[in-house]
Amino acid sequence: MPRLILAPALIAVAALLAGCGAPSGRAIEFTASEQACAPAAATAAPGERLVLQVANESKGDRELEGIDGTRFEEVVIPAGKVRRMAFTMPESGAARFKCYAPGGAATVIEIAPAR
Amino acid sequence: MLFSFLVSLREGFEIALILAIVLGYLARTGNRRHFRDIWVGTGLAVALTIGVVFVLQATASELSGTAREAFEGTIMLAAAATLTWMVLWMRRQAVSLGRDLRTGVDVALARGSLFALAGLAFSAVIREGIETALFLFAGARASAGSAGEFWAGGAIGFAVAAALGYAVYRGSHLLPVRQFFTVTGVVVLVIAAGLLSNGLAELHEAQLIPQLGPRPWDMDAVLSISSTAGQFLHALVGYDPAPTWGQIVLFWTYLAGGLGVFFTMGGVRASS
Repeated sequence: MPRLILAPALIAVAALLAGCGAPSGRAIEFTASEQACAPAAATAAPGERLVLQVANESKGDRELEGIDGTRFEEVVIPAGKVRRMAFTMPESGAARFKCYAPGGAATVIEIAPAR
Repeated sequence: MLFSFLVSLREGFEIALILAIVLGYLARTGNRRHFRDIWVGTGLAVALTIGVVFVLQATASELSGTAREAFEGTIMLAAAATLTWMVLWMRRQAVSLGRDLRTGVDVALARGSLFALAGLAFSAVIREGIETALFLFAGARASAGSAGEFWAGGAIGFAVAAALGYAVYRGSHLLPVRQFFTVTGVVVLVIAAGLLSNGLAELHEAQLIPQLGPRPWDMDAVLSISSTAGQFLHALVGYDPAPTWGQIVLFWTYLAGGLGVFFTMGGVRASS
């Protein structure tokens, strides 16, 4: 009985861990400077798989986080580093993110659905 | 749906793992009658989580990024301390068990220890619960059309996490008692080391402490922190693709020290 439960559980975990590696999709590049993150607007097709690439050229850490219900978890981009993050556009509406220095002002980035 | 499934599976699995270890410990020491206390701790945390989320939703307020990070960082450090206490406490119990350990044991739990174990269940659930619930609420609000599917994904994720926890609990019975104590002890110490490292990173993000030194390497191209595997390892063992020296030193110092104390307490060896 325990083996019956254990085997599928282990397979499920292994399958999840195997789904790693580099994110794939069309890349949209952003740059974080001391003042802001740019560009603040982009477009993508509904449901399109994207790679959000953020190069942090500032001297401090920056964070990117989905807002207004955009399903994207907070990621820290350490100073001087580049982060490539997978994101799938919602089927309807825009995706909104905030790019900010911890405790500092935020740039709101909007990826609008392409017409 | 996949998104909410993965979030609740990941956070739920950590809760399930801790509960499985605590319940497994109680079962192995003849304390099944105290399962109820653990479920009371769990239930209280679930109720409090729902309450907090409800109030935040009703007042349409959100925890600001800094406040949330300060909350998460503090609670992670508290959890690391509680888990350390738990593993060393279990080890000390094992030491006093002597040779009975090989066949199964019956340890009388003091009221205080039991209260602390229930508190441990409570803290594990509340730590992941509030964060996950807020996240799910925000996601469900975004697109009314797929809200049902979104919630279903979250519910299935928690259900699978619970099943995995049950599998760990059942699977732990396959281990002889002494291996059970050793394996769960080491697992808990690794989780606690990760929480220590993550907790400090959160406190830095909340600007409560300065950055703990430079980051000697960056492994994000190998295992991205935003990938599913990266997120799981981050939650479970504190994976950080570009940790600071401070995080690295604390993680390994804690782990080496913890394992050192754990194994020199040496109860199992004394029994053989």
